Amino acid sequence: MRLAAYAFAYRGMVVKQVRRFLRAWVQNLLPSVVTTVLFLVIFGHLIGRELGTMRGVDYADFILPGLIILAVATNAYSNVTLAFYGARLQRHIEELLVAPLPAWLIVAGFATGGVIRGLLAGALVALVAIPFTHLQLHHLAATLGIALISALLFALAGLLNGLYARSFDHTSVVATFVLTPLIYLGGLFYPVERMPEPWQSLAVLNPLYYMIEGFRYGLLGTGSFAWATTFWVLVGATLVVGGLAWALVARGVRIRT
Amino acid sequence: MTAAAIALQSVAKRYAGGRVGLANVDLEVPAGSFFGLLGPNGAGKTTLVGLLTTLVRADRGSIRVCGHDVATQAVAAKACMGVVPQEVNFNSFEPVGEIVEAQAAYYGLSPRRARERTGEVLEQAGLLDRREQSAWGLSGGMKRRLMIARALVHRPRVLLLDEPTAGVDLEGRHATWELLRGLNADGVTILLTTHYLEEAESLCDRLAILDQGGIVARGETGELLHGLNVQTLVLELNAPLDAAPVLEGLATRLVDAWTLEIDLPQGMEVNDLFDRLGGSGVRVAGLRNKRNRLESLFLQRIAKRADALQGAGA
Repeated sequence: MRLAAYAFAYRGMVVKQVRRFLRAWVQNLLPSVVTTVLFLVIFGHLIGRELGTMRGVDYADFILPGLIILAVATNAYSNVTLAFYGARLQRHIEELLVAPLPAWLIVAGFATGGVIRGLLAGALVALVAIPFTHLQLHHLAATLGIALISALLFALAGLLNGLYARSFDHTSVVATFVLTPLIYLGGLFYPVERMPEPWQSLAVLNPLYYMIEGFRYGLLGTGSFAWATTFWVLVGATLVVGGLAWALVARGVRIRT
Repeated sequence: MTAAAIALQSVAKRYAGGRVGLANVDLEVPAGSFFGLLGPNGAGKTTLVGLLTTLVRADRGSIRVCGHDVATQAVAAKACMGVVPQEVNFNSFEPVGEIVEAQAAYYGLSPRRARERTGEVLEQAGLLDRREQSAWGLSGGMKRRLMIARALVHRPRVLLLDEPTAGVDLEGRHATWELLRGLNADGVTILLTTHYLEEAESLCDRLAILDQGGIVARGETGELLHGLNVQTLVLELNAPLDAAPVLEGLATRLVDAWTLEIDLPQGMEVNDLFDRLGGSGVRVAGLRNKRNRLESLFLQRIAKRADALQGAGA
C-alpha cells in the first residue's frame, strides 16, 4: 500500500520536474545544442580538417562523445541545482517536506528530473551532430550505461549544490569554475596520451576523464581502458554522492529549522 | 473523553541566537474540535505549526498528531495532516491545477484520483475556473484559497491553518469561514492561528493564547470569555452630559458630551446598570462593547503575563 503511494508520489515529483524544464525549453535545452553545433563546425570541420584523424577517426567524430557527455552532465547538474535552490528560495520545498515522503524519495524525485533533462539534452546533441559527423554506436550497453550513470551522478551532485547555495550566483559557480574546466581538461578535445607531462598524469586524477573515455568507447570503440571499469567507478561515486545527499535531506540541513 | 488529535508534551524550541520559540508547552487539541491559537507577533504560533509539520525541529518534548509521534513516525503523522502556511509557498509559475495535483500525488493519490480531487477542492475553494491559469495571476485572497484547496486534496483528518485569512478582503474571509465551518462539521479537526480575534471567537470552540513561547490562557471559548473580569461598554446618550455620572463601584468616563464609557465588572447585570443610570438621570440611546470580548480577554492575559515577568525581574 505504502509502496503504491510512494510510486504515485515519485511520479508526481518527476512530472513536476520535467514540466519545469520544458516550460523554459529554449533556455534549458537549446544552449547545449547551439554550443555543440558551433564546436562541430569550428573545431570539427574548419580546424579539424587541418588536424587529420585522431585514434583513427575524423576529429569531429573524436570530439562528439565528449560534447554529448558534456551536455548530459551539465544539464543534469544545473537542472537539479536550480530546481532545488528555487524550491528553497520560493519555499515550495515545504510542499514536499510536509508531505508523507521519506528523504530518499525526495532525492530520487529531484535526481530523476535531472537525469531526464541530461539524457534529453544528450540525445538532442547527438541528433544535431548527425549532419556533421559519422555518428556510430559501437557498444550500446556502454553508451547507455555511462550516459545514465553520469547523468545520475551529476544530478545528485547538483542537488548538493542546490542545498548549499545561498544565492543564484552560487548555483552556477561549481558548473562554471569546476565542472566545465574538468570536462575540457578530461580529454574532450584531444587524446590524453598526447598531452605532455605533468598534464597527462594529472588528467588521470580527473574523474571526468574516465567518463569521457568510457562514453567514447561506447560510441567509437576507442578508449584508454575497459568501459566497465569506468562504469563501476561511476557507480561507486554515485553511491557516495547520493548517500550524502540523502543524509543531508533526511537531517533537514538548510531546509528545516 | 475525546481523544486528542494533536498532543504536545513539554515541548521546547529555542532558535539560534537564543530567541525562545516555545517554552515547555503542553497542549491537547481534541479530535473534531475547532481550536484557535492566538498570540501577539513572535508569540510562538508559527513555531508550533512548524513543529507539528516537522519544518521546525523541537529541542525536547513529545509531539503526536493522530496518535503518531512526529519525530519517530513522521510519515504516518504527516499523512493525516493538511497544512496551510502563513506565507505563499507554491511555485507561482505553475498552473493552479498542477500545484494541487502535484500535492495530491505527494500524498499517494493515483493520477486519476488526483485529477478528480483537484477538481473537487478547486470547486470548493471557488477556483475551478482558474485551474489552467498560472498561479502568478491570482489575487492575494485567491492564493490563500489555493493553499487551502491544496491542503484539503488528500482529505486530511487534521487541518493546520497559519493565519489563513491575513490580508484577505471581508467577502473572502467570510467565504473561508464558511468553508472551514463545513469541514469542521464533517469531522475535520482544525487548528487555526489568527490575529483576527473576531475570527477566533466566531469559529473556534476552544482557544489557547500564546505569549513569549508559553500558553497564558486556554479552554473552551465560552468559558474563557465568561471569565472576563470586566468589559467596557460604550453608551450613546439621548441628552448631552457635562460630566461623567458618579456611580458607586463603577468606573465611568465621558468620552464626549454624547458618549459615556463604563467598565462593567464580572457578575453585574446590564439591567442593574441601566437602573442606576436611570436613577442618575442618564438616558441611553445605544450600547456597544468597546472591544470584541475576546480582544479584552487577549489584552488582559497578555498584560497579566507582562506584569508577572516584570515582577519576577524586579
